[in-house]
Amino acid sequence: MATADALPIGRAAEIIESAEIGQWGAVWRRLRRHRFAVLGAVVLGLFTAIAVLAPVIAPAGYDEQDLLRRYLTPSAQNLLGTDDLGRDVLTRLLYGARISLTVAFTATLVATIAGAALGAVAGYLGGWTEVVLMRLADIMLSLPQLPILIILSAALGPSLQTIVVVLVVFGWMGVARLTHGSVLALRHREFTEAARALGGGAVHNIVRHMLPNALAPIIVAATLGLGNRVILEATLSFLGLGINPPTPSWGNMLQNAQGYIWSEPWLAVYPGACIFLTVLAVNFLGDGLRDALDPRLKI
Amino acid sequence: MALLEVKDLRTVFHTSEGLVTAVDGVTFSVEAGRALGIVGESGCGKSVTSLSVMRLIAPPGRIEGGSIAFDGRDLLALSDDEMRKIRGKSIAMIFQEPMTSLNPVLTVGAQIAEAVTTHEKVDDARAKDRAVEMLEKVGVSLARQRFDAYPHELSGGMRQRIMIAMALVCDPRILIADEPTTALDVTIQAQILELLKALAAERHLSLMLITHDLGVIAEMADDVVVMYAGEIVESAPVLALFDAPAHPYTRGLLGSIPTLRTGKSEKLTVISGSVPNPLFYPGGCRFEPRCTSALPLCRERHPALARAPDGRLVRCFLYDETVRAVDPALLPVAREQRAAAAAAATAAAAAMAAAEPS
Amino acid sequence: MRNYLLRRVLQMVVLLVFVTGLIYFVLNLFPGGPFDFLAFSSDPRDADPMAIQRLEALLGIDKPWYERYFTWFLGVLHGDFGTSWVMAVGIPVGDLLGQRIGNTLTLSITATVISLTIGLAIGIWSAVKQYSLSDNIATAFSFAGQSMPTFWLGLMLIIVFAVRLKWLPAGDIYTPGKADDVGDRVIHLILPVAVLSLIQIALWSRFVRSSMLEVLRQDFLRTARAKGVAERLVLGKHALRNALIPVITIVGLDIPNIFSGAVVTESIFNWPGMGKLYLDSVLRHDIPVSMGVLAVIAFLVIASNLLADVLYAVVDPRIRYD
Repeated sequence: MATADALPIGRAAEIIESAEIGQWGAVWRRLRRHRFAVLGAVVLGLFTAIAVLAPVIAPAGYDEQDLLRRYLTPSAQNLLGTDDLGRDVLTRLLYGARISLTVAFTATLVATIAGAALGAVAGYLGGWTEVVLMRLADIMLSLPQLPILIILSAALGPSLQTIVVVLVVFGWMGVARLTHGSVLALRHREFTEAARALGGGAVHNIVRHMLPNALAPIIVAATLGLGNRVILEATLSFLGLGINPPTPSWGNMLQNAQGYIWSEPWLAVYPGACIFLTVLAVNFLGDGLRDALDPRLKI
Repeated sequence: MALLEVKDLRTVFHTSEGLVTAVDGVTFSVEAGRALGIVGESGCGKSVTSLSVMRLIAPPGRIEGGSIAFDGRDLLALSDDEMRKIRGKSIAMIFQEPMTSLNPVLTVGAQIAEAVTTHEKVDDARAKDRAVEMLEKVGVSLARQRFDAYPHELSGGMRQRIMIAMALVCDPRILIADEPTTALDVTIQAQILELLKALAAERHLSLMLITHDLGVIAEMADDVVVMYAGEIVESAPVLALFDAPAHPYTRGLLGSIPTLRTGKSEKLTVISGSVPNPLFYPGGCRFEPRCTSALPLCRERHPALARAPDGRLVRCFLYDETVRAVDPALLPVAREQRAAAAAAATAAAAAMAAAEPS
Repeated sequence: MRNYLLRRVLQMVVLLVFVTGLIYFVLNLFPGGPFDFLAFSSDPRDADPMAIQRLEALLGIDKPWYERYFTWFLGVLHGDFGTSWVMAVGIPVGDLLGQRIGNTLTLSITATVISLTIGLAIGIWSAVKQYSLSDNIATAFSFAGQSMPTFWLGLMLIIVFAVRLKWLPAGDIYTPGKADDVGDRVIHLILPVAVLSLIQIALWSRFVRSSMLEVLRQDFLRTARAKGVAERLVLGKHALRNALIPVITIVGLDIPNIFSGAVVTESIFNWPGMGKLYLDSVLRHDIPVSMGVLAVIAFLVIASNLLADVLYAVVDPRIRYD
C-alpha cells in the first residue's frame, strides 16, 4: 500500500515526461534556418569525410619523397605542388586532416564525457566532492592553457596519444561546470522527487533524467571546444611538441613551411587555411546550435 | 485651452508579423491642475499613448498621425533637441518598476541632480542642494545621507519616491505616471498616491495617471478615459463614470470589482473572452465579441466616439443618437423594461393557469 | 572584503603549489638532465657514472623530487629561481628572466592597450548599430579572429609585409647596429603586436558587444531619456558604465592568456622575451628555467585574479564581499 507521502506511480511518471525536453524537432528546424550553421556543418562534414577517406582518395603516400621533384608548383600530377622533400602537398593535407581531426574529435569526446560525469557527480552529491571538484575546475580554468600544455607534452614525449591526453586533462572543466550547474538546479525540483519516488538509484537518476536537460549547453560547449582543440593541437605540433614528422599534421606542416617562407611561401598557406576553415566551420555550427537550442540567448 | 491636447494620435509598430496599431486615433486632453486617469487592461495601448506624448517611441514603433499640443505647441513638429528640452523639464514621467528604472551604478542623488544639470545651468553643489531639497519634499528622511545611497540599498517605496523626486525637481507642468504603484505593496501604494496628490495640489501640477487599477482611478483622477484595443471607448468625469458607467466594457470592469456591499452569493461580472489580436482587429466594434449587449449592427459597423446627452464621450451604438432614432427598442433601458414586462406576463399567465380548475 | 581576498589568495596559492608540484613531478619522471652532454663527450672519463653522481650531488639533483620541489619553492619565495642547466649554464634563472621580461612586457602591454581601445570601440558601435552592415562585418571579423591560429596569422603577415612587400622586418627586436634607435624598435614592434592584437580584438569586441546589448535593453536608459538627457550621455554615461563592469573582469582574467599568446608570437618573430625563453627551455630540458617562467606565470594568475575581483567590487556598487 502506498504511504501517505509517496507519490502514486502514474503521477510520478507524468511529471517526469512533462519536464523532459521533447522539442528536438523544433531545434532541428531552427538550426536549418541558420544559413551559416548549415554551411559550417557541411564544411565540417566535408573535412571529416576527407579525414576518414584519406588513405583511399590520396593521390600518393604521405611520406613518398622524391628529391628530384621538390618545390614544384601545382600541376596535373601534384594538384597543390610538392614540398621540400618532394612529397605531394595535397596528400599531406589530406592525411593532415585525418590526424588533426582524429586528435580533436577524440579529445573532445573523452573530455566531454569525463567533464559531464564529473560535473554531474559534483552536482548530485554535493558536500566535499562538489567543493573539491569545482574548485579544481575553477583553478584549472584560470591557468593559461598553452604554457602548461607545452611543458606537459614535452615531459610526456610528443606523440598523438600525448596530445589527446593533455587536451583531455585540460578540457574537462567547461563541460563539468555546465553539467554541475544544471544538475544543481534540478536537484531540488519536483521531478527529481518524482524520480526518487519511482525508486531509481542515483546513477539512474542522473543519467536518465538530469543529463538530458543539461544536454543543450553541453552540445554547444563540445562543438566550440572541438574548434579550440584543433587549434591547440596545431599549435603544439607547430612548436614541435605534438605530432612528429614524418606524420603530417596541419600544425607541423606549417612548422616545416616556416623555414621556406622566403623561397616557397605558398607552402605555409594551405595547412593554415585548412585549420582556419575547419575551425571557422565549427564555430559557425556551434553558434547556430546555441541559437537553435535556446533562441532566447540571441546575441 | 487645455494644457495638453492629444488629437487623433496614431502610433504603430512595424513588427516582423505585421503592422500593429497600438494607438488608433486617440483624442483626449489634460487641463492645468487636473488629473486624468487612463484605464484599461494590458495591451490596450495606454502605455504606448503615454510614451508617444513623451516621444519616447523607438523603432520599430512610429507615431504616424495626429497631433499632441502642449501649451499650444505641437510636440510632434519639434526637432529632437527641442523635444529633449521639454522632457524632464515641462513634461515628466515616472514608470512602473522603480528598481529597474534607476541606474544601479549611480547614486540616487546623482541621478536626481542630473535632471537639474540637464536643464539648468547650475553647478554641481547647487544641483545637489536642489536634489536634497526634493528628497525631503518627497518624504525621504535623512535626505542628505540618502543622496549617496545606491538604488539597491533602498526599498521599493523609497525608490519610487526617488523617481518622483527626479521627475519633479525641475518643476514640470505635467507628470505622466505609468502604473506608479503596481509594483508596490498595498500600504506603500497608499503612501505614494497620497504623496502624488499632495505634490500635485501644492504645485498646480497636472497628472496623467495610467493604470489598470480602478481603485487608483477613483482615488486620484478628476477625469477618466477608458481604453480598449487601442481606442478610447469612454471618457467622462470620474464621479459620472463610477456612478453610471455607460460603455459595456466599463460596466464590466466596474462590475468585476468586489465591494463591501457585494453579497456572498452575488457573482462578480466576468467579461468572457479576451482582448483581440492587434494584428487582426475586427471590422466592427472591437469589443463586440465579448459584449453582452451587442446588436447585430455592432459587428458590421465600427462605432465612432460620440457625445452622450450628459456630456461624456462613448464609443458605442447603444448610445448613438442616430441608432436610437431608428429603433428605440434597442435602448438598454427599453430592453430592461421589456424584460421585466415579459417576466410579469409569464408570471401572470402561470397564475392564471394555476387558478384554472383542471 | 579583506577577508575574502585573503581567503582567495590562500586558495590560489594552495592550488598553484599543487599544480606546479604536479608539473615538477611529471617533468622529473623523464630522462634528461644537465649532464647529458657528458655522455657524448670525447673524453671517456666524463661519462664515468661515479663522477656524474658527484656532480649531481653538487647540484642537489640526486635527492627525491619532492625534496627538490620543496627546496625550489622555498627558493622562489626568496626570489631565488635556481640556475640554468642547459641554456646558460650556471647563470641564475632570475637573471635570465629579468633580461627577457622587459621585451615581453613591451609586446603584451602594447597589444593589450591597442586591443582594448579598438575592441571597445568596435563592440560599442556594433551594439548600438545592431544588425547594421557594420555590425555584420564586425561579427564576421570576430568569427574569423576566433578561428585563426596565431602562428598562421603571423606567418601570413610576415609573408605579405616582409617577404613580398618588404615594408616591415620579419622578426627580431631591432636591426643589428640600431639598438638605440627608437623608431627602428617601433617598426619591429608592429607585426608582432598586430598578430596579438587582431585576435584579441576579435574576441573582446564580441564580448563588449554582447555586454552592451544586454545593457541597452534596460529600463533605466528609458528613464534617462525621459529626463531629457542627451543621447550621447545616455549611451556614454549610463549605458557604458554598466556595460564595462563585466568587461573589466574579463580583461583582468585574460591577462595570463595574453602572455601565453606571446609564447607563439615570440617564437615566430624571434622576439627575445619570456615566451621564447620558455619554449626553448622546454625543448632543451632546462628544468630550472622552465619552472622559473612557470612561477612567474603562477604569480600573474594570482595577481590578475585578485585584480579582477578588486576592480569588480570597485566599479559595481552592488558587490560587497564578506
